[in-house]
Amino acid sequence: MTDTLFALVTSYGAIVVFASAYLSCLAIPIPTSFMMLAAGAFVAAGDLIFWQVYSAAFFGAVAGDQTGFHLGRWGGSPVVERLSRRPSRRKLVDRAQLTIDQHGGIGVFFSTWLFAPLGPWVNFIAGAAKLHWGRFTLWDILGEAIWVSVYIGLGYAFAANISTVAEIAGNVVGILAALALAAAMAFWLRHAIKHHKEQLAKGLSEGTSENI
Amino acid sequence: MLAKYKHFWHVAPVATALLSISIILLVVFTLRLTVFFLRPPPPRDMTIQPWMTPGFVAHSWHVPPDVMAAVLQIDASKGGRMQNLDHLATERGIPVEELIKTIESAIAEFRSQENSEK
Repeated sequence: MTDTLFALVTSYGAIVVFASAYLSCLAIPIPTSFMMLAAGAFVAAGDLIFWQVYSAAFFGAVAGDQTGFHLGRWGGSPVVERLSRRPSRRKLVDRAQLTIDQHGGIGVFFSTWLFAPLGPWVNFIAGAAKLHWGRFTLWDILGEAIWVSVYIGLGYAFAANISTVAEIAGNVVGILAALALAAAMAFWLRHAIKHHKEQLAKGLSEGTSENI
Repeated sequence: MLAKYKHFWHVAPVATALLSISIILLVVFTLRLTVFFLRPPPPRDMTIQPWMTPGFVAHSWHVPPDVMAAVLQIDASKGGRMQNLDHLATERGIPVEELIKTIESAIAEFRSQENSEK
């Protein structure tokens, strides 16, 4: 399968790198990291030109993230609004909103490269949660610059062994993304259980007062 | 433990489902990485593949591009659209394996010449 992807890069060059970077930032499962590794290797071999490959990957990724963010804002915001109509949820949504306003930028930054498989979802959520567009864009550009540099750089440096590098990188990134998701969900679960206990205690005390 | 899990499901089904999936993925990726290091696949990186371009082979096998240009009868200075070995073989109407064998023997010949010059 990796061989087919590498063949695509030799057939279409920088255009296929742009397209795959754009689409993979919209949660369409295309292994863009493999493509960037291959493109880096072909730069080392003198078949592709560095600045063309780099800008194709970078602008493709940023354009994909922007599309995801705006899709989230356009489609997701009304859902959040509706959710927060109920007062009990209002508090929860407000708290989530505050967390996103304070730490959302950093979240976007790491989701573009270190936890890349989570990136598209973070873009949608950032859009839906109305993260400030300027802040989103700044962190996004910084993160994508790292993502693109790392993969094209690895491809350039390990040209002859890119299949091995692709295999290792794919698994390491998978482990990191799974860890990040597990940590986030454990955090959510802890909050949910705490909230549930509080509700239970409240219900119990109200129940007893009614009995009296 | 199962009772606790059922309780999690009851309180926060989405978080529990995603947590379960992420733990499964964590195990899968860790196993794959471990297997890769314990039993590395045969070093296929060091065999010429159809997706490689003449320039890529020259770069990775440390042979001058002229050697590749000569064996493939292509004009290296012409540039233009890059072609991989699969394309080149199709263009010539020969199986790609045959083209790869020709390149391999040319590289071997170049190496032996290089060694005898030393």
